[in-house]
Amino acid sequence: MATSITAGETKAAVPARGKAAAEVQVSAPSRREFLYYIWGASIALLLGEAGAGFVWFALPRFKEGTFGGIFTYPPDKIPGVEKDPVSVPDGRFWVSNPSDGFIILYAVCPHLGCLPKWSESNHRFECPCHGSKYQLDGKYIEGPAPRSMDRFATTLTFDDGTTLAMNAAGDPMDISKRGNITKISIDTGKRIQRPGRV
Amino acid sequence: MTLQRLLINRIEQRILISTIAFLGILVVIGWLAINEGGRMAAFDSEFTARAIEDGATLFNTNCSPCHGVDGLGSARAPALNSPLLFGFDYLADIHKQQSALKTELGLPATTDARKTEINAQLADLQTQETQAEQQLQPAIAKGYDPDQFNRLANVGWGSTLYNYIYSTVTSGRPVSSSYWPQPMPNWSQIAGGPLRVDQVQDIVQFVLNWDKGSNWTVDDLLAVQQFPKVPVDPATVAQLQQQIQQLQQSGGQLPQYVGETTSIDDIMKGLQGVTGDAQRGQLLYTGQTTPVLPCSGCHTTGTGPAMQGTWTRVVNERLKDPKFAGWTGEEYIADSIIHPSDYVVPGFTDGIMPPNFGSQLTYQDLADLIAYLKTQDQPSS
Amino acid sequence: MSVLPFPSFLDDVKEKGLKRAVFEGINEVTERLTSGMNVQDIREALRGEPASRKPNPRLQPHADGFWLHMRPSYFHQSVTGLYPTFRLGWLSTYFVFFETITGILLMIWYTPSPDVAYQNMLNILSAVPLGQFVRDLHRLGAEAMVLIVFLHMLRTFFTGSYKRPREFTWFSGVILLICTAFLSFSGYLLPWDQLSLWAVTIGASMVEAAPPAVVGTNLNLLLRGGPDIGANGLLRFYLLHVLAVPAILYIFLGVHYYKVIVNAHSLPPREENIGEDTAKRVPLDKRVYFTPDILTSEIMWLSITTLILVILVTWFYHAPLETHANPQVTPLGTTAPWYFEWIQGALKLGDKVLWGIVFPTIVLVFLMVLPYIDVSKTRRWAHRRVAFTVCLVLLSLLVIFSYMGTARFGVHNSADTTIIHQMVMTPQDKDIGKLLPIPYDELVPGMYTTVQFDNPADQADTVLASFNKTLDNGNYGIEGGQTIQTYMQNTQLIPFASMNFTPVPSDATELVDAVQWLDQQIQANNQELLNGWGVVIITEPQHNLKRADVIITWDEVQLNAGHVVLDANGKATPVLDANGNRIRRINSDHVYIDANSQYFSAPGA
Repeated sequence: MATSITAGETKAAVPARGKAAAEVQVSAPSRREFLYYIWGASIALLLGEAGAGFVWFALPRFKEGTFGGIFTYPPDKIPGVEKDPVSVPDGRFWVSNPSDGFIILYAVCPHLGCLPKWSESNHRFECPCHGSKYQLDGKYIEGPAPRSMDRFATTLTFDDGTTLAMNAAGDPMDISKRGNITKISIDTGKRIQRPGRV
Repeated sequence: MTLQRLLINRIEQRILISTIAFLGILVVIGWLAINEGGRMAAFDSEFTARAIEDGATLFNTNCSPCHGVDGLGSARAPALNSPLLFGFDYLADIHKQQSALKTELGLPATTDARKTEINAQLADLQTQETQAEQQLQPAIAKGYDPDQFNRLANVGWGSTLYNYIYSTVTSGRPVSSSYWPQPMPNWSQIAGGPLRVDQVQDIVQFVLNWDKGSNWTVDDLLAVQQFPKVPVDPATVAQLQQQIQQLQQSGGQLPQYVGETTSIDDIMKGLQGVTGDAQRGQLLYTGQTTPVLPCSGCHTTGTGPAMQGTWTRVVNERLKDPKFAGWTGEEYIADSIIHPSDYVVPGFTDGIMPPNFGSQLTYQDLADLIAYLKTQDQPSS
Repeated sequence: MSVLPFPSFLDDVKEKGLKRAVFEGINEVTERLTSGMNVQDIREALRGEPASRKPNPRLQPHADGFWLHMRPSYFHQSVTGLYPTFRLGWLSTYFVFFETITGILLMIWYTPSPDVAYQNMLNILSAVPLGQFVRDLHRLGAEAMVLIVFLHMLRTFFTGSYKRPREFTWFSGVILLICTAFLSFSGYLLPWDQLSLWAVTIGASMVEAAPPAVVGTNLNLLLRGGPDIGANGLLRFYLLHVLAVPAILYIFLGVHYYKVIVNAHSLPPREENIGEDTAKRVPLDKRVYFTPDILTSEIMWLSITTLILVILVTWFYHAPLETHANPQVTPLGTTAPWYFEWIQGALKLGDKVLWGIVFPTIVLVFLMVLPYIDVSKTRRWAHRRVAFTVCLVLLSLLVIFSYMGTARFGVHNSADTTIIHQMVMTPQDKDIGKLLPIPYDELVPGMYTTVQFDNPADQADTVLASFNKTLDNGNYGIEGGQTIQTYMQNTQLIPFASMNFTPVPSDATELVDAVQWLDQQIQANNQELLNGWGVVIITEPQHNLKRADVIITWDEVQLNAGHVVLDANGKATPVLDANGNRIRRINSDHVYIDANSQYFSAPGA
């Protein structure tokens, strides 16, 4: 054995030297020792605050009308039922009007963040990165995506003064039996994830 | 372990190998340095080429609905594929001689005999100019002026053509609806538009690629569909209005326009007794006779409902809509032309079709257009 | 008495004569600069003679000097050969400095802003002498560094050098591996082309999956500086790339190398008894001194590596630069950098949290704690069958997952989109559309169809004549009540009055090949593209600028999860409309090609 003892060896050697050497003296901390702990704790607290402050400092914030805020969409530009959806690049959403109701879809693929394209010939969304496919209402068809396309919380106002808000599950909103829509308000800060490929 | 013996074991070999390697690097970098000028130039031309390709794609989707796919202009916007934009002078020779002679004419040393000679030559040049302009006549009829051959000079632009196009695309250009149906939009993101700066630059590169330098032909000029329009001085307008008044007072006849706010019932009354000419209607529709109409700029490019099958769709689809119960197809078409915002076909955008056809069309024009559209009865979706 | 009012060099000159005084002066300065070796000592070392004075002056710089105190004064002879180190550790260190230097050079011409970053790249490539050279060196060096650091780790595993007392050396090495990979990855974004934006978007989206959702979302926002990668994201990645990660890397490089010196290089396993670590006790006859043996060896490896890199970037490798980044359009077939393909492949197995976060974390944590799990003392191969088996299984998984991570694996796009993309795509990931490298003169404007290749060559004219008749001047009906001509005019915005297909000019051999290839692809997919035919239309919208449209039209068939539904006879089933007619589909895309574009197929593509 080497005469000089490295750190690793000391640790490994402990059991070999018997229990007596492993015993640790336990006694109440002295005043000075306690003060050291308090000091250490204050430093840890300060570092914690600095860390939280850094996150607060570096986290971006969103203004109204930019992505993350509320968007309005002109009601007269809603696409026809089962017609090609309309893309709003600023808000990163698609306005889609499948037969089962009106819906706002988040334009980003829930798989890895690419932008699915609307394929007119196949009448579905196709993601160019990994081939996930979605129906007009955002429902998953195939591919590696974990769930259907996300939706944005949407509130519709009708000319009779009533409003209709998207339900918590993000289902398409039936507008066929309502009056004319006067206002469409889309909250791009409130993204609704589908629980799976539904 | 041969490799080991060769590379590792003897210091002399290590030094030798390392020296060779360093000299090798030296030589390769030297070789690079010799070719670097050529490589940089090649890269430059290659990436200008790529910029033109990207610009072509952007032009096709964003610009061609108004400026035309071939850049020859339409009733909505002027031509860019035009010698006027690039300042080509069709009468360069004549202009040069004229200016030289006129300068000489003004000099005090010029004798009277010489002056007579010069005047004769000028008269001869004038004849030549008239003959040359004869060739350009169709373009002149569309508003081209052979003496004002440089767009940049006409608008008093002091910078380069690149900057002229770049700043126009970037910020757009406000217009009065009296000469263009809609303004040039602000395209660049730095001016609140949709395109990135590099995309605007690509479009400029593409437009500049239309320049034929000194190889512009008369045919190129005649192919231009629409020349730039210049805003009209209000004084000129007032003068024209005065002339119209005088004409009315002296009993002359003015064309009877339909009017933008005329109700559809009144329009139908006005159409009674007017026989539509489908052939002239087609010329109107395609912008080949006066008044020059921009119909085909949208209805053949997908911006508006397709021209083909218009009548079929009117009869089979529109009139079936309860909104139009009791309407005739002629009524529907007349209303759509004069009051385009009354009803917008689903899937298309309101506000693109100009609302001012009522003040451009006479009842005869309207009847001709309707007659032409009634021939568009091909089967359609 | 001094010459000057104070003692000076002139006194020496007066005393010893100029020549000797100068020599002695030089000797003294040299000894101070080297912290212990005078000219005579250096020359003895260079000549390979033993030191003529004691204590050995060659050890002095290691004790007194700053630079050499970081290096051991001698190595064990057994670790100076190619085996067991393969010099991989030294080369990794070299690449850290190599990348730092080339990186600083590039910083001279680079601004991290989306407005100018891409312009900066164009400027580096077109107006900076040796700009492309430096950029290529930096990029290739980065990828080589990832590879070499990984091989270094493999070597350490195979020789069992991570075992006691070198556990922490290994641990810090894993941190260096992570730093290297992240440095390479964050540098990917900086050119701000489509490749960078989308490869990094894919890579960074894994962060978003970190559970719970509130952590993932905010972590993602912190990293990207916004909901997607824009000006803030570029700046943050730049700062990580040039400041934060290099700082961590340098600190852990210090820790790592300190541990290497403290424990010395482990000897080849066969030279030690099991459980022994004799690396620190080097017998006198086994000592190989740093000066000059190790020094010459290190410089030799450095020079060979640099030469190889220089040759590669001069003739065989150029860092890619695609079109300007466009956050609105994701290019088809986007994929992460190759050293992250294994995560990409794992992601194709399913859940993003499990395979994108949990799985890589487990792999990395497993690597970090490996020396604390595998505590058997033996380093002999014969005694480490389990460890070797686990390692080989992991390596195979790495290869398999990486293969699964490639853009094409397991991704089924519709045949028409894929074929058209392969005809017209601009250069991307060493791949290029078939039409682009065709010599400009061979792109003869006209209309060509794959139908001409479906029959013997001598019948081409007849076939085309009947084909043109079928098309009836473009009035051939396709989807949505359009004819093929209105489709071209209204949707694709190319105006022409009539359609008349002609044979591809036979002297345009590459164009013939491309159209023929299109035909073969359509035939190969004739179940999905039932009755399909393709068309290539070349127009010349400007002088020196051509446009090539590729169109495929076919009868729609029933598909299930992208695969054709076959009936009992193995035939595809056409989809019928309300009237019982087949539905004719059409798809097309186009590309503009400038005469000066100089597209060429990537070597090996």
